[in-house]
Amino acid sequence: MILFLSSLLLIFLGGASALVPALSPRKKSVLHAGMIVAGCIAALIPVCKVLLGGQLSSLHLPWTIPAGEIALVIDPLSAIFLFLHFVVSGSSAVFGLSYFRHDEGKRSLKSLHFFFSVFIVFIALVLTAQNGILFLVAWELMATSAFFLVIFDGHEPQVRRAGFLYLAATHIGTLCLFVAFVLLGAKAGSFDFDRIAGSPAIVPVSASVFVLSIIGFGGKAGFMPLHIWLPEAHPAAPSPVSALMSGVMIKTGIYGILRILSFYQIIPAWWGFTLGAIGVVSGSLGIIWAMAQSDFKRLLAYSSIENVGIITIGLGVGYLGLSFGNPVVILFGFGGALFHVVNHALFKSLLFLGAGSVLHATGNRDMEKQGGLLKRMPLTGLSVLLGSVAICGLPPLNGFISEWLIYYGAFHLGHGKDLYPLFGAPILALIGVLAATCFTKAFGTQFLGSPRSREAAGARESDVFMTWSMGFLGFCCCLIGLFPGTVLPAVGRAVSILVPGSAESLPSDLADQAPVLLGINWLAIGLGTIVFLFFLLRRALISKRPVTQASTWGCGYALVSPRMQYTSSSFAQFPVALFQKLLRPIHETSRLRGYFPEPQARFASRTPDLVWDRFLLPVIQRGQKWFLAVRGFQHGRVQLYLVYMFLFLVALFLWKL
Amino acid sequence: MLTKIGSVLVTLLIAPLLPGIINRVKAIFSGRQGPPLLQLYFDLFKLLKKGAVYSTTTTWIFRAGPIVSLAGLLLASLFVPLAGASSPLSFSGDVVAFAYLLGLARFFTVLAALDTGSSFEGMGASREVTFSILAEPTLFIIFIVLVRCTGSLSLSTMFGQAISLMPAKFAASLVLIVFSLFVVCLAENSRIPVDDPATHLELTMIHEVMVLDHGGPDLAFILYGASIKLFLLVALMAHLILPMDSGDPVREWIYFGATVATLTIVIGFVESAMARIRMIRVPRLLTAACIIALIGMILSLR
Repeated sequence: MILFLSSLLLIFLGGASALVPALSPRKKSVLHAGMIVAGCIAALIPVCKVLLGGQLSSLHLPWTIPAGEIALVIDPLSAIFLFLHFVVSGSSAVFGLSYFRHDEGKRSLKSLHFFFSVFIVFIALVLTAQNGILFLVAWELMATSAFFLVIFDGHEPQVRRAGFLYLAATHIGTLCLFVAFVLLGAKAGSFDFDRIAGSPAIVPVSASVFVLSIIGFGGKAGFMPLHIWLPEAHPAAPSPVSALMSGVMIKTGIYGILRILSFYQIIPAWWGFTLGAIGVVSGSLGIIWAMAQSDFKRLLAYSSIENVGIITIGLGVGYLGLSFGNPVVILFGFGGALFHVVNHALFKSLLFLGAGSVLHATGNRDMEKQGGLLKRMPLTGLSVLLGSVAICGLPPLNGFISEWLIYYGAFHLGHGKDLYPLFGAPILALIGVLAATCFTKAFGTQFLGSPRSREAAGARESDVFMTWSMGFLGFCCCLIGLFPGTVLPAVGRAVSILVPGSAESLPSDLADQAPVLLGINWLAIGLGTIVFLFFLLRRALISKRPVTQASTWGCGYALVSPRMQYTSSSFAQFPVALFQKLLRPIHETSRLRGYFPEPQARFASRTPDLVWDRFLLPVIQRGQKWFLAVRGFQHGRVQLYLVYMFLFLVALFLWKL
Repeated sequence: MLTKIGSVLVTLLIAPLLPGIINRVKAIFSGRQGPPLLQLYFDLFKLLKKGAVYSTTTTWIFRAGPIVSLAGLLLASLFVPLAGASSPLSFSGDVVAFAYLLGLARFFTVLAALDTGSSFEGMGASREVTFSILAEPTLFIIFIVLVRCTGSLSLSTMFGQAISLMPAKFAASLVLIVFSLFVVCLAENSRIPVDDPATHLELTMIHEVMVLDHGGPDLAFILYGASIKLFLLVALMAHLILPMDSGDPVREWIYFGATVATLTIVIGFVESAMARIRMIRVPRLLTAACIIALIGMILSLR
């Protein structure tokens, strides 16, 4: 634990070094990234020890406030999340080293460097805190530092707007968490997690704790009606920050749900159903909206909602298994969900870094303007391709393994008479095939074909820091895909934290499933071998034959131009039309006039967020009218706010007396 | 072991025969003599001996597309039982692997099409992914019905042995999913009424237009892969229609061969008797197949 804490300190000092005035901007950046990477590597040592089945690492210190003690524990559940956290943080820091290079000297990177470190440190504390108060403090600091990272480009109005939307969303969530933890703490008589866990006193408030934590943690994770901040904040933030937010921060929501529900010995079946339903809705709607986007980072943000949906389906399956007492379902539901947490962190941060690399090279996030980038940026292209194959859950990469585990659990649920567990697998299939549509579109229109703009034509490969950090994440995806067996025991240990009293039985359950898992292990290797053999065959076949270059067959038309290519909108038009009712895309065209129209014809299409436009915005506008009456109290004078607090306390006293 | 190698060889050798049968049926219906039954074999050999022409727009994705697609389809074929014998590879949950390997093949075919930078190929790719959005969940609903009927999660036992031991109450579901699987098979293999493999007007095609720029060995890989995919889905349907459980391999193979041939002729019959439906109507057909499979799923709950 000492090593863990000192590495967190190192990461923090890396951020604080930005405030040292003597160094040149470049040296500061290098120092910052270097210390973060060193801290992440050092912190991974105790985390990996726990993952490999070693002793739990813990620290308990007395605390002056009467809320229990400062308790930090790395148990297998935390360790899974910490592992992905440090891997993604380290890579993002390295990526940032060249991503922010053109800003050095031009503007101050102090706040970025400082809050980047603070963000990493407090995510780590959220994942290890074993005391409610400590958890909430870390949670709040994590959320706030993310806000400062999002508004890095705060001089642009839409970035500010995204930042404030995020701030509002996260505080609504935190408010619910305050209530949930106070309820738990008041009933159990302590804020220490080990005293709350399993305490019979917390059972009466179980329903309210469940609902509050779904809203509080679900808002952070991006559950469907609470997701509105994601597609705004992720594109607004600088790419390494979006990678960290989407890869790690939204997973803290999943972690929170798992941790808070692990306090309960008996899980009612409706919890599982609720989670499953949330997962199905988030997963399918998230990817349908993603498909209609033409901003790559917005698309990735919606796809994060989809992946959180998949994870939540897995959790729903796991909790249903817990309610029905089916060990196979428990193991595969939770196992798949946790595995997908790791996988999603890897490939989503890889894709966000890829988006950053493209943005860096072309200055544009709009996919309609790209094209042919694979020739100009081969390494970025390869990384994004790996990320795309992985995120679609296709073999042989890691996404397939976790989705397969969830499928397996969902198939096993279908033995009862109930109808609804059966919808899990077809919905997962629908999500999978929609994801494939989405990412063939994203990769195809940006990296393949010919460039659609001058910037794309002149794009150059990013430098070594960017490509290596992406390459490292891509390598991790391949490694897990080819050898999933190495990760599964760690996932199994984390599952045993979630299931009360299963520490003894689960490893043997896992061993029972070994033949099943072996099959999946060989699949990836088999596929790799067959592809390689065909590659050799093809090479042998055409080695002695004439291979010539020509232009793409244009069906006899001679004046083919890059503008005639299918763009991302045109590729998505037909599938989007299938979901017309859900998406309601807006088309803007200017009508051509006269026999020889001026060259001003334009077409633009965009897809607004229906939840925001049709549901939240009217509610907010209605609310604004009501709240106008009490606006006089909100005048911005802090001393008067303190008077309100004092009066409120007096009123409380009078009421209680 | 020997039977397993045998069934791999059967898949590899027989698959290209199926398009030949379909074309012969269509020729007979339209009063033509038609190409020989073994035409696809001749085409494959001819293409394998050719060189290649690549567009300057394309990258290594274009060259990798046919290889990865064929590899995915071949690996998927190892999970499919033939003539009631257990499949060369099987593990519990391989249904998902089967569907996702087909997905991998599609993913790379679509990327290779987009790599050419041609609007025709983009158009085909867009259509292909759209129809797969409806076909893929249908396939999974069919699998769920079979999981409920047979209690098995591997294609080999699901279609091979367990199907004949199934209680009679599942008969209605089975009839419905056979119909759905037939529609999925037509859509996945780009046959009429979803796609017209014979037309040479690029605007009306899906699969053919996606592979417009491929030639030589690459095209051979693609054509071979397409025939394997057709064979796989027809073989799965054959097991649903005629359970093969007598334990006498010779009889089983005769039954299997006859059923596969009949189904192929039925596909040819459908192609001759129907016109391709309008592109925007295809989703309706696929949705109908999906709903029919769902009805089968609800009936299987009894």
